[in-house]
Amino acid sequence: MERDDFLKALRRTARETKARFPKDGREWIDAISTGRSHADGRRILTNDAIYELMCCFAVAAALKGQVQNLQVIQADGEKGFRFPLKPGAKSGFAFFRFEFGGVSYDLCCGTEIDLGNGEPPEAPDISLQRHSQLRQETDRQCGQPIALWDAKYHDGTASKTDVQQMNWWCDIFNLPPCRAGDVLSQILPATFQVSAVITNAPLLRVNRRQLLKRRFSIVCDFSGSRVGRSPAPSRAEHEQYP
Amino acid sequence: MRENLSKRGFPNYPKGKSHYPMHFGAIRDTAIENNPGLMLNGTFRPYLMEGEQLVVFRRSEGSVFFFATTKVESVEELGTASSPYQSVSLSGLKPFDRERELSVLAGSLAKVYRFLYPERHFRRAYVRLSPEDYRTIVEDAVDLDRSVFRYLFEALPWGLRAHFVSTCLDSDTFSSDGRVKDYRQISRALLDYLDGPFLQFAKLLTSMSQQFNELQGIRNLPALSKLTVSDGEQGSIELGQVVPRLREIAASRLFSETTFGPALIEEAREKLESPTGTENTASYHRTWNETIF
Repeated sequence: MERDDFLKALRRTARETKARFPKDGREWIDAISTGRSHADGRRILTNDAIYELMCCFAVAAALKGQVQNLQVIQADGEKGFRFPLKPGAKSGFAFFRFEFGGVSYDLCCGTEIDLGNGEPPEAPDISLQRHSQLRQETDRQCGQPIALWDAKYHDGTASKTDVQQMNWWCDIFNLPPCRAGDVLSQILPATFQVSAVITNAPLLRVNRRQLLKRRFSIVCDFSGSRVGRSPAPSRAEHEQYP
Repeated sequence: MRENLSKRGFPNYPKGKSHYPMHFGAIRDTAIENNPGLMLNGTFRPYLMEGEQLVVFRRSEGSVFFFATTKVESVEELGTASSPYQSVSLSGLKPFDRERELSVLAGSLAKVYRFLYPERHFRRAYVRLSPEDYRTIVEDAVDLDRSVFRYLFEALPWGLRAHFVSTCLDSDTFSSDGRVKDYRQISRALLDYLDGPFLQFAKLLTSMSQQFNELQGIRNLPALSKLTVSDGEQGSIELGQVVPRLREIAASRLFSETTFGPALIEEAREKLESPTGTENTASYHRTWNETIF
């Protein structure tokens, strides 16, 4: 493109861009710098938080057609379709609920799960909770976690620290082992049939035995498309692990 | 007249003058058409000087085009002390080989600070110019680094501008009094910023909204515009309101390849890295003594 045409196009596009920006919205502007905090140390919207929401939506979308009565349970209030930026009570945020095999399941994003025994609650990025029976829409109790996903967004490569959080959660929640014909294998595609650290980063080599022992995997290069994304170790390896 | 100009058409300063020996300006064609003995009056009457160098511009469909130069041959002061006016005689117009468009030169002129709407600076019939601005117009000499920077920087909301500047503070971009040291450096830094953290954020939001669209059909699913994230204490961010706008920006010609060609941000990189062009695409680096805001 000639210099003059380029500069005219640049100015025109810059004007259009200026018009498209929201007039306010300090929060999302701050979010441009990933992990930036307010002066009081309160973390704000980060790429990681958006990626977490994207992964949660991806799991929920994968459930369509596989389960019954899949629905959104909103929180109270005008802005009921809200998800947490930091761990919060399940009663204060939206989640997905569905029925399968005669009981209810909840797919939650970042909400706390009470551990009892005076222990502080934990808030996995994404949790699939099973109830012992069918629940009413107004019932917002936590169920038993049967699968967890930890979303990790990276500018570059993943690191071993990415699996530490999941290691911790899997230890605490004692997730059920993967077995042929279990509910995960019936309702979800291969990508989500095992609890996992989901990341946009390339494959990270970590101790597979430890992952199998803790009952989770890593799904790498995930940017929303479920096609061709398989957990490592695979579901079959988990099923064979004693 | 020709002997008073440099070989590139820039007036030579008369010797023996200590400061600012000549005046420069831009005058609109309608002010001099059929007005050989140019009469200038009114409250905002400019004070033209004999020997002043003028560039002549015309306005067309909101754009400004510079098409010739002229010179103030003589000035006659008329009227009274309370109501003065001048009768000005101009030399014949010397047309440029081709018109210069303000939207091309805006980023290279100190006169302009509304870079996306530079025509606003040329609403009046006469506009005073600095010698450097006059030279820039006459020589059609674009400062590409400053132009790219100023157009894109102006497009950002204040919060993003401030954040970009904060990312530059550790580098050698600014002098201690906050002036831009080198537009070559800061223009590339801005491209990196837009292409990096900003675009990454916009694309991630776009991916998230695409996943949201996959949810269609789920019972009680609200519209995307209702999507909110909250820290539970300090209020919420209406993410659904932001997504469509950033999606549009990410998909715009600035960041995405279109039928018109590659993304302008890529084109900008290419232009900034290529050596200065031909006679008609001159590019040079003026010395700018200014702050970023």
